[in-house]
Amino acid sequence: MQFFSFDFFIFFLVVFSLNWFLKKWPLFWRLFLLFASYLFYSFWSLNFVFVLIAITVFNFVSGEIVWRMDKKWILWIIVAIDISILGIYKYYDFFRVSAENFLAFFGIHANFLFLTIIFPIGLSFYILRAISYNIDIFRREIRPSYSFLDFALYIAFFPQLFSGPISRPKDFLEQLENGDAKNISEFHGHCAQILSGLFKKLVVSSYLSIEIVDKVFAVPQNYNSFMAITAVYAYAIVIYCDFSGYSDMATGIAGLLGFKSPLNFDHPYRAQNIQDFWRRWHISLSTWFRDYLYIPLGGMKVPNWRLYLNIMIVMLVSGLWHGASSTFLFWGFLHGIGSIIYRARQIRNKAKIKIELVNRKILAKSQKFFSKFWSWFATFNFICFAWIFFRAESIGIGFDLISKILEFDFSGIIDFKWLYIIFICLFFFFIGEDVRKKFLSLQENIPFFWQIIVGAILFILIIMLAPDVVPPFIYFGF
Amino acid sequence: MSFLHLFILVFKMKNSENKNKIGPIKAFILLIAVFGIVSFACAKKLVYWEEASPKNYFSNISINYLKWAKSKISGKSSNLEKIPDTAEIEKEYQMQINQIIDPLERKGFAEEKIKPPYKALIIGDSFIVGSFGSEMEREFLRYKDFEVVRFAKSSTGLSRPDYFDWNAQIKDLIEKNKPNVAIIMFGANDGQNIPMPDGKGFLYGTEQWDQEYGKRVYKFLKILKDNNIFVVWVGNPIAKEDSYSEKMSRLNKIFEKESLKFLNCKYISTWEMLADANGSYSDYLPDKNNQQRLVRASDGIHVSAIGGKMIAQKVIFELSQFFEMDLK
Repeated sequence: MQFFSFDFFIFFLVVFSLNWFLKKWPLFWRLFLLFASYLFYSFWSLNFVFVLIAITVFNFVSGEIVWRMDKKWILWIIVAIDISILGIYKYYDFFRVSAENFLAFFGIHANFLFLTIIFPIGLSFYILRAISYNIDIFRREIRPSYSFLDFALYIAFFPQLFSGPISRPKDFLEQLENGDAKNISEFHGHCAQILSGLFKKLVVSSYLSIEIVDKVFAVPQNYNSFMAITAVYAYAIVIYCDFSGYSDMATGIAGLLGFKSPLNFDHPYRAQNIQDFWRRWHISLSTWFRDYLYIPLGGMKVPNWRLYLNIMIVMLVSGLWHGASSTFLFWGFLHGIGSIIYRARQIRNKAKIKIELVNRKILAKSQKFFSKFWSWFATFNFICFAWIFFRAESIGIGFDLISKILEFDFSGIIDFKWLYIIFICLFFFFIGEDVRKKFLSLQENIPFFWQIIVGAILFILIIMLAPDVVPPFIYFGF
Repeated sequence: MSFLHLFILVFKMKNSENKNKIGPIKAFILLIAVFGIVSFACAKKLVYWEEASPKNYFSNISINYLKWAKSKISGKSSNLEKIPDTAEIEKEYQMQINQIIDPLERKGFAEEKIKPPYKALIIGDSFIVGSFGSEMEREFLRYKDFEVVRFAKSSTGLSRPDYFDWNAQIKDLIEKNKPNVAIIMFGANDGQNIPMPDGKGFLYGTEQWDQEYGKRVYKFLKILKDNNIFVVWVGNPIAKEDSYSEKMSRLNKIFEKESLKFLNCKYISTWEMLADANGSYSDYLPDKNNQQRLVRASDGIHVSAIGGKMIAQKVIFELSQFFEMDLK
């Protein structure tokens, strides 16, 4: 069941009305939300629900143990078990095949134990929620949840189940305890968010995916350099619209049920440098890695070489988290290199900081603009370059695409329509927020009847503009 | 309460003092009104989406409701009138109903290879959109004198020309690209009732359905034959779900039967290739080193990149009997 299917609309209407009706009875309200979440998950597979329940029970009990025993090694074991569950489901086959292929390279034909495993959708997301619960308890940032029901809902809450945002236990559990609100705050804001998510996914991401990205990335050698380069920029838009579209919908849906979600995207393509990009892209994941991996590795309080190593480790883990494939690992490696270079320049420039401060005052406005533009341009292009390996089926195909671009072959079809679309999308990345605010103030100030009409017209336009077949969310595969 | 009363009530509702907050009842009315309007206005597209996506309890309710909304809005679908009639080939089809090309004649055809340059057209449904299509395209580009064009549309086939008319599309593709070889794969979405312009249609599973579908395959192949295009028709592989597998097996028989009527057509079965040693469905199959590799997609219908490559290589092998296949 996808967020953009009509059966989800029906499901949501039922859940929405019962959610607000049952709020008077906290126990029934929680039970209902949990039941709705499990039901939602069971539409994919009933077996997945059992995995989800097993992980929930294990982590609920382990949270209590971590609190009472207060031993680091216990936490290590629990985190190791959680990661192993993810590892077996997600990475076993990748490592088996990689090991077999590696040995075959030396003429050894090994046959490692082979398991038929179906990856439970969303596991990568809810296992991170479970791990953060245990670590936060160990750090004494939260107490173990007194209610199994609350904890189970934290792990399984259906708007955030498949692809986040990865909410933190403290934020979510507090909302459950204070879940007695009688009115829906920012109702129009949430509706606008859902509509914007639908537009990003159904129209922009699906259209560009089907019409250009999928074709060129599948067989780059069959297209000219213009199409290859256009596909790279188009994919940058596709991945953003796909995932932030999902996050918008998830946040809006949770909001309509009275829950606040953490911010997941903050105009990532406005980033001025690679570090800035990671502060704006998939924020709930990058802050997770910052708090539970980067800081425990030593954070910034380590010698420079360790700092660079830590950055690389975090980026490689982030790459591998996205999928069991060498392409994601390579994408993480590229971001690692980019971040290290940026960090090294920052450290070197610290010495010159005084001179720079003086320079900043002297710099003319136009120079400042060009300097800012250059930082944005270089960062954006680096990110787009790295996306090539995120999307390509193999590293080899990624390099095929790059070599196609470098051939400067402009024979055959050159359709400028794609460039216009890309420019319009980029333009919207900069002004989209203002458009949304204007729309909101308009929607909040018109009579109720017209609110319905405006909402319906926008919804109809989105559906009419969407292609006949909408591809599934990219992040559902991670 | 009549619709008119509800309309007046909704119109009279004013915004609350606090514009950021809204009561659940008012929110519910707004949501249900929006969904109501949208479901009527976009019923046709929403029905397609629902029918193409995996089913659950709510999708059955949705499909029935949307079909009802669709009938209220548009009555009889106007697209049904656009369905190409197979009556024009009725006589020719009946004459050749059990006719097959003599194997000796087929052998003779293969003796003289078709001369380069070649232009291949890969067409079909989601199999061609996905891994098999891209692996096939990639495989062709490894050979000298081959140009490739891939055109595919998910959720389409020969059952529902009211949704997507492949007969019209193939004529257009031939005119634009002038191919001399075509790789075709259909069927994944075709195990369903066939609507007809008179509104009666054919019920899936009946003999009449088989014959109507056969006619459509025949007509499609005839267009290709008339344009001197050599065709490789790729059959559907075994699927995870038994009922779906049965559908595919039934369709494969029709594809094979119709292919045998044309000298310029070669049917390739993928059924055995993607089944395990017991002839059952398997996500993994052993490769040449007896190492288990994932050959199927998670939906139990489509193929993985490795599975796609296996089929593509078989197609190339078959083509090498009719074409001069030299690696670049």
